[in-house]
Amino acid sequence: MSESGDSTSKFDPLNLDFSEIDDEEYNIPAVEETPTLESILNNDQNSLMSEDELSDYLAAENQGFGTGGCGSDTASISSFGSLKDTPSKTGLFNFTESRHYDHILRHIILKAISSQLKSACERVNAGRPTVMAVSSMIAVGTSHGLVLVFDSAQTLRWCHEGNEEQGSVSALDFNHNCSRLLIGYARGLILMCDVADGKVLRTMNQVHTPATAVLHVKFTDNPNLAVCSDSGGSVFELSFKRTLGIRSVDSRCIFSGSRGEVCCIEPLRLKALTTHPLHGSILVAMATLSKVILVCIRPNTRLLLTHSVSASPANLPLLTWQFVVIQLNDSSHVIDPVLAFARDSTIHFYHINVLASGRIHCTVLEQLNLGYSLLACHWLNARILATVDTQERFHLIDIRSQEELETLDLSCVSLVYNSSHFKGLCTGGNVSKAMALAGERACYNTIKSFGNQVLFLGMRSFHVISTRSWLERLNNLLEQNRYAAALRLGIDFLEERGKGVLGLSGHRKQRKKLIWQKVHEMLTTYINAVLHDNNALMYQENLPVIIEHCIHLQCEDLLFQQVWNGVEHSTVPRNIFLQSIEGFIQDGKIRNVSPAIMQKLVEYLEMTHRWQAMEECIVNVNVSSLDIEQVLQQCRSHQLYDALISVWNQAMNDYTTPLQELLPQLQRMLSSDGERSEEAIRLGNKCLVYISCCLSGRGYPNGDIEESKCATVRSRVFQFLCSQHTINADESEETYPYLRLFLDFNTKEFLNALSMAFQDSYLSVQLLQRLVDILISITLHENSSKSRQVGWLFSWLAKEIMRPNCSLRLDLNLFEQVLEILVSSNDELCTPEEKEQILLQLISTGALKHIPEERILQLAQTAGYHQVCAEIYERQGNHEQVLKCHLLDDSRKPRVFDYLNVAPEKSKLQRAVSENIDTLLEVNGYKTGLFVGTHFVELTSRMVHTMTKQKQFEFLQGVMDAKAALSPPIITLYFQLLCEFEPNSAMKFIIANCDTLLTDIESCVETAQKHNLEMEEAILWEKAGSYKKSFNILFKRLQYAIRSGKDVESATEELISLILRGSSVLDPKDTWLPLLQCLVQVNSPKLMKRVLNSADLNLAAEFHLLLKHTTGSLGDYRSLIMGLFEKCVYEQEVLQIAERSHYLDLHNQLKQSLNGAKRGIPNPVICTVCNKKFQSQMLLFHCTHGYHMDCLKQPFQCVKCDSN
Amino acid sequence: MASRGTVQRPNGQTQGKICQFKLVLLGESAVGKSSLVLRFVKGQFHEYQESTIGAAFLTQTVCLEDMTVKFEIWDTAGQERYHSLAPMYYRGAQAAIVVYDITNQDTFNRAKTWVKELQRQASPNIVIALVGNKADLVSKRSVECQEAQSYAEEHGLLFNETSAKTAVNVNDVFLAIAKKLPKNENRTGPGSSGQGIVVSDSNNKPPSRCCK
Repeated sequence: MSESGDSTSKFDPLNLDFSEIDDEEYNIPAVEETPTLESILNNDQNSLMSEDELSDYLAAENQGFGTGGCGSDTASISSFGSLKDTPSKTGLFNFTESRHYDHILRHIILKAISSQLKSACERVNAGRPTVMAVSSMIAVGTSHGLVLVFDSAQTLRWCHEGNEEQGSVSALDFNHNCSRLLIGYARGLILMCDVADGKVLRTMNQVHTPATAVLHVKFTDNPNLAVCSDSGGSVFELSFKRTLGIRSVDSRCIFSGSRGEVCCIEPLRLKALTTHPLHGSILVAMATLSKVILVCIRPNTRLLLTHSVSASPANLPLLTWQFVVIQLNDSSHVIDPVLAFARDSTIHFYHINVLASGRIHCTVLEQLNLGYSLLACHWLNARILATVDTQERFHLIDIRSQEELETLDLSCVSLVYNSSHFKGLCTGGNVSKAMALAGERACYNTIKSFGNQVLFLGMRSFHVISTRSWLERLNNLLEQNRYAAALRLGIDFLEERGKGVLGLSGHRKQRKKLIWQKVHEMLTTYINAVLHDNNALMYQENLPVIIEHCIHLQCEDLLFQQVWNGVEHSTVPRNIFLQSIEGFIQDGKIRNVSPAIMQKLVEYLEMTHRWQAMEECIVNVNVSSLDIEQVLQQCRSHQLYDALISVWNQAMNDYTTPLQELLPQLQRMLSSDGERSEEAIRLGNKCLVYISCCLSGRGYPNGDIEESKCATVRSRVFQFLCSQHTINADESEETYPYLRLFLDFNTKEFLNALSMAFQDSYLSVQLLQRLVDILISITLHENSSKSRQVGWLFSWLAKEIMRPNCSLRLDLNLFEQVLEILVSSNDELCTPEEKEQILLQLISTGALKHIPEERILQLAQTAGYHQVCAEIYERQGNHEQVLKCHLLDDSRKPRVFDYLNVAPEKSKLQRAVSENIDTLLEVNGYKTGLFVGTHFVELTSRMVHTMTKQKQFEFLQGVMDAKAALSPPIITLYFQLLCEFEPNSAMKFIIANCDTLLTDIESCVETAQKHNLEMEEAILWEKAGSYKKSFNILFKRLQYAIRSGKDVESATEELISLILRGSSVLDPKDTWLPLLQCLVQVNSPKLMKRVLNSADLNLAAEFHLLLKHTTGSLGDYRSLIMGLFEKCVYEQEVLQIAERSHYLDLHNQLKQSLNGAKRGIPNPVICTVCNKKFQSQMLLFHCTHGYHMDCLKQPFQCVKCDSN
Repeated sequence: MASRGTVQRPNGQTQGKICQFKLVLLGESAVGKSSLVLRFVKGQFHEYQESTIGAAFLTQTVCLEDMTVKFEIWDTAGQERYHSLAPMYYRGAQAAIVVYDITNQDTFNRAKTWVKELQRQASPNIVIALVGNKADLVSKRSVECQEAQSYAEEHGLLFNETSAKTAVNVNDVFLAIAKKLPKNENRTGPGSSGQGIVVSDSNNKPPSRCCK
């Protein structure tokens, strides 16, 4: 087993599930057995310093440091729970921001003990406190060897005045039932005392390495066995014996310091956990500066685990045990000890379990990294770890989430360190350097944990940090009047989201019940507090929170009774209440509202004229919450149709009455003259939606109709629709008023609604057939037939009939009748467009199949239904006719190109296109061009001539964009048009098409001239090779530019580049000279320079000419001359440089060849030609080849190198 | 629109099952609802699409790996006066496409209110797709893709930007919806309209081309 811990490479996740733990069930240390410190701290506050006093005390303590001002801050310092303030901002107890302002930690000073220690120090020369031990009693050792034992009421029980020669007390420990106390001294003595009276039972000399300080002495589970470690780093077990009334002790070394010094030991104490398989074994965890070692010393000594951990040598290792519930896969769980080993900023966890074979097995779990170095580390419970860092800050850590719950500054404690014992100061400093260095921060015996508290021994005081139980935390918030926060925290606990929950026990169910009771109680208190305060701001702030929590916790009774009764009688809070609850109702969070409240809510909404909100509220509550009378009245007077329908449906289970009520209203609205009002459309639409919902079994406005009712509702509504007369009909009423009404209102949508009912085929065929027959009879067979209704009806019927599995019977001859109605023109209600649409639909559904196409075509033509004609022609494949139809139809002309692009067999369209070219052009010249260019480019030239210029241009633009190959005349023509209509694009066009344009250069130039496009003309000439003409044009341009003073620069630039391009053709005298002459007038050195730089002309001659051919003083040429000078200087310089580099080159070459010539040549042994040795005269070359004189011919050259 | 009108582009080989779903298009007027449907159903695009009167009905099928999904599409009118009629179409729909125009912020805001209305009133497991149409007009964009995307994620919607004109992403939208729709075979009661209708055999379907 020895190295198994090390070899476990797999680090199990740290899954310490505490949620199921139950103190009683698992018989975990029964805290109730003896009066514990916790109970004393929590209950018997009289004997303790209360928290309020804490700050006073501290202020007094700290006065020495000049913080006298602290006293005045009393109120804010002592905000740990009892005051209604925000958290303290003073440096003394600086909480980090914790959620909900809820503090888990409570810092208390045990005043009686502190003062007792102080007086002991002052009066009996006890010395400073050095170590302590905690159980149900507290023992404190001092530097002069005294041990003071206090009981739980902080009363001093007894005092052991030890032998001062033994030095200070360095270790203390109680056994588990607090009957024996072990005392270790700095000079090595160990005593055992009876806790009851302080009698020394055993004096143990020489039970460990001589002349070393006792660092730890600890009881184990076995009352006769203890372990101790000393400053030599060795560990000994002490077995106590009592033979014939004489107490004695045996000691045995279980670990020698020579193999690495043990700094810390921690036996596993099972305490009352008697059923655990580990019961009877005694495990001791030891930590050296480099390792953690776990050994079993009873029943037999075995090494269980060693694990090397490297860390900075200045930090001591820390050990702490905890029992945790480990959830096993098969939903059972075991309680196993987990050892936490902390070093520096890392905490390692080891899980110890007993295998079925009885073997003890250690598993290395994952580690926890904290951002700070640790001074102390203690479990508070299986989920919470308390740590102290080297900055003396206390941290509370939730292990599972690795979240820091709270921190607390401990600097006020002035913690006692035990470094003197580790350095062995009393025994002459006989310790290793490593031990002395690490011991700098030793506080094993001054920070101890007990239950969920951590105790601190300070230089002048004794401190306890306890964690609040869940109940205390809630109460704490309540005391601060933070009801909302308390409720939130309570709900967090209830829903198991809370962190650091302490003091809850029992099964999950029990725990929930407990919390629920508390939360309920808090809610009640909260409500009472708010009601009692009775102030508008308070209501505004808190009522929504209360309502939210009431709904969340399903405490509607509280809401509707207590809260409502409180606010009912005064207007302001009542309105706030109603306002807040309105949102919850609208969001559907609460459906059962007390009718009284709903009544008031409706009144309130009526008062504030918020009809929309009222409707939503009515729709979203159960009908039992409504005062139906009131609601119906409101609905009627404010046209809340949805609410009205919903109330009828739900309350009266009546689905037809709403229609009976609303349809006559709609009738009235429609029959009034003029445009249909918005209101009428809204109502009509709602009725349509309503019948569609009823027919398809959906609730209105949302939800579903109960399945059992669906069929009834459907048939009722259907019957209603098909009823022949209204209930109180007079004689003049037409039959089937409701169907007529809907057809009048919106035929198409009504039919769509029916269609959806048909589709879901919930209606029996007979019913449908009846409906269809009625519809036909009221639309078609009467004199007042309206073509729109007839049309839509039949197009709809056609669709229905085409549906698979449709069993409707229909007289096909009716369609012929319909057709005639559709093509007849005497109907002012329905526009021809709409009729055309209907006819199209009829055709596309195939309902008119039995009527010959020719007849339809003829009728459509007479009626002017071009779209219909197009459709029919398209079916026949007569594309020419389709095209014509499109063109005849004014409203759809633009779409002709969509058609052309998708039409198959474009070639067949050629004739039609050319015949209708004018109309096409009218619609869109460009698109026509694009189409023709893409498909019938050969027609272009013929078509072009018949067009107007503008159209020609648009058309050709399209053709050009189709990227077709075009004949030169067309291109020339397009160029001409381009010059006319879009001169800006002409240049680009010339460059792209210059080859074609050059074939007719004359006319092109003429066009360009006509439209004053000088640049284009120049380019054309240039392309044609006539640079002179081009120059003239550009020169003219320059002159003009100079005159007008605009664009001189660009004109010059163009001219220069032209001259450069044409330098081979142009005579410099005819080009540069005029240019210079021209520029002299401008007197711009910049331009002059530009010309001079690029001119390749003989300056002297040109200048001479210039002077000769112009008049004016020399001053006019100033800039020119200056430019010439500059250029001259520059060129001279260039010449010199060139000369210099040329000579340098020559020189280098010469140098190289001379060097080559000087090189020594090894003497070859054999002739390269005949491969024989030299005897006579030889020829030797620089390439080191040698030859016989005879072997080479004149002129002598190296044969080998030459051949290469 | 039946026989010739409906181009059944997905292949019509007899497949395991055919699911039928109601799909409704919603959105401000002139955002391109009808164009989107026309592109999906017929593969066409009309520069001058007439505005829809009431609601138009079209069908189209798409093929998934193991099944064929038949969409019954209700293309509603965007004009305000038809708004109160919309519940008639979306109440029973299994899927909804809410369309806005990426060059017009108002249409996006309107789309948001449509989504809200659908989530409140329509069947709780309706599949909603938010679609920004006219993606070809990027230069005039005024609704950022990111903005719409994050809105869609927040509300659990499918999202895509499409162009009915260039056909970009149009089929993808419908395919994504088809994939997301629940396809349980047992047809539940009429009220709980979460599922589509499974039409078991497809023998009477005309053979047709595969989707592009």
